[in-house]
Amino acid sequence: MQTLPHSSPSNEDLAARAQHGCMPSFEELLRRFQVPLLHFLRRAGPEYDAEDVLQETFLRAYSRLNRYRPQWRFSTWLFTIARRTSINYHRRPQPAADDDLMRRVVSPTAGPEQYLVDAESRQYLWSAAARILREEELTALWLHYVEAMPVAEIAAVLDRSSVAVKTMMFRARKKLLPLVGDLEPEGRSARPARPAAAFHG
Amino acid sequence: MDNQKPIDAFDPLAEPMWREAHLTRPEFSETLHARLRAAVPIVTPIGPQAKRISRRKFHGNLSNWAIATAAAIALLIGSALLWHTPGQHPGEMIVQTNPIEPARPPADDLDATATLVESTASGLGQWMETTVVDSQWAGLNHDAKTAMETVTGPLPCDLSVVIAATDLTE
Repeated sequence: MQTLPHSSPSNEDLAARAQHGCMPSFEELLRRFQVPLLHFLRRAGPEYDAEDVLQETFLRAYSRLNRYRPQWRFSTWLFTIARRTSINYHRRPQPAADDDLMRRVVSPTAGPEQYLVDAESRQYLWSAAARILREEELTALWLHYVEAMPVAEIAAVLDRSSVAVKTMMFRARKKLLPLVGDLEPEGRSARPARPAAAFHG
Repeated sequence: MDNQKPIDAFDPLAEPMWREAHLTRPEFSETLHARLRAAVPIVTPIGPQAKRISRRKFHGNLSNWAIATAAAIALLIGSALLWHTPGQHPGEMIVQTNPIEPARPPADDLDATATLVESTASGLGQWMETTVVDSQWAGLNHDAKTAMETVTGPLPCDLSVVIAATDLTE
């Protein structure tokens, strides 16, 4: 992936330049956010839709660039557009918190087949979360655990208060905690070492 | 953008959730990037240009609205002036300001219309001065006196006299 040779401007600087017609700046933003946004959009939807939604997201971001204010974090603004675009694209009904479903998911009698399928997809927890949690809860956990987004920014993406987001995340974690105990299969019991460097977006 | 693994020693979900997501993180795709780059300028106009266009249009509309609003206000006030001038019947007023004259060539009609506009404008100014402005000041004067009475009422006699002697309405 190409990177700028000298000191990299911030996302907010690039967005401000793009607002004044600097296409290379917007192109750089496309590079920086392709992977995190695509990853985010695949969290609960079909993979084959994610690229279409990603394209639509960037189209909307570009057409609405005049509305962006540099005092906002650009990532927050962009993730907000991505989430709303994804919702509109799929228009799937929001599953209510289903305790029965959760019990079936975590039950030791659920059978090894389902676990193997999820383990093969390497998204056991996130697959379960997509089935158990509401879209808001899933998004909040993703932005927190994967994007390390502060609660205040998650609240902006979800258009909720910080208190509501904290409550939402507390309840979501509570639903998923039983899954962590069932997670460790043979060969995965040892906790992996922390990565030496953060992955790039 | 911060992609650091969240460090939360008290959250048993933090590391497994992050680790799972990291395992499925997609790689950057030049093909997808080319698709996105090609898609953006084709479908939509460039954002800042669209912004400039909308500003011109907005200012153009604003000036048109301002002119139309000013004309409407002038018509309303002129009508009010004709109907509410004291001591005169609207019909007489009309007769006096618009006397019936023999038919004239179009140029003379334009002069008469200009005269009417000027007289209406001057009458409008006088009406504003006598009716609107004076009534506003009269209202303010009344409010000031009421406030004065409210403040000085409970005060000792000698002090209230001193305060009342100060003309606050100047």
